[in-house]
Amino acid sequence: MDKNQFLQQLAKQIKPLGAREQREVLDDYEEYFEMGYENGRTDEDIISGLGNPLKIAKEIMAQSEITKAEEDPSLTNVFRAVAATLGLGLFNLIFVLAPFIVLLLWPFVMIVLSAALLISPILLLIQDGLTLILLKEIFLILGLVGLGLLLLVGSIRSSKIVYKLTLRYLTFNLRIIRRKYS
Amino acid sequence: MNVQFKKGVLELCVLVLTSQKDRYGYELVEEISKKFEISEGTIYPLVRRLTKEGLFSTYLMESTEGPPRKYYKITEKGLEMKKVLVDEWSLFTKGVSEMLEEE
Repeated sequence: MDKNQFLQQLAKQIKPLGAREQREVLDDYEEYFEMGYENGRTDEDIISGLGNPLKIAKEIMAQSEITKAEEDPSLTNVFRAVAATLGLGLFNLIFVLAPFIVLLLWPFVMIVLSAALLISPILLLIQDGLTLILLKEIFLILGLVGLGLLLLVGSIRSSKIVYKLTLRYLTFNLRIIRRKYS
Repeated sequence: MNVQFKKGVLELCVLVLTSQKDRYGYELVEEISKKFEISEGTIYPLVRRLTKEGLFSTYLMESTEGPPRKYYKITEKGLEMKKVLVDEWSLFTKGVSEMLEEE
């Protein structure tokens, strides 16, 4: 492999970054080659120092997806960040998957729970009809509905926290991978 | 030298070197390589990440030989981070050398 092949491979893999960032990364590596030449080094020598361009590209992509997800933690962005991290190797599949499943399930469970509580008076009405029991239990019913509302608010808040934690965890994971393999 | 030793402190080394004066990428690799062996591939992604995190700003400057170089300048935020890492490092090395003395 020579300099051009190295840069071409890298360029192809990091295309999704957009033209400007792609250029920036390539300029960095091009500069690195130039500096290497000044020190009398060959392409081969420099490339063996830098490592596989595909691996470099994967890390750059994962890093960019995570930054994007951090700036705008939408489900799509988080999902892409997870996919990119998974692309770094099977090794961390479990570590990434476990928190991600929690991330997906958590809001779902909370919303189902609060919905059940919110419609509980209606269920009671269907079961017993409009009787005195309903009046007698009015405080219980109000309590349940209140609890349901609290849970709903809580689920929105805690989902945000779970989002943040998952992202932080992903970034942390990425750092470990970088330290381990770079 | 043990690989795991070095990885964690590279960030600290890069911050210390740029706090002395502005540096370009290859220079960072060279300066660190003088002291201990590193794999060259590590520095560029690291500096890129630190720049994105706002610890460095960059500018291009012509050089007498070859193409213009991209210089890294440490920011306020970078200096703060450097201080945190230096403190952590001193605490760590102090602890380790105390343990070694007890041996």
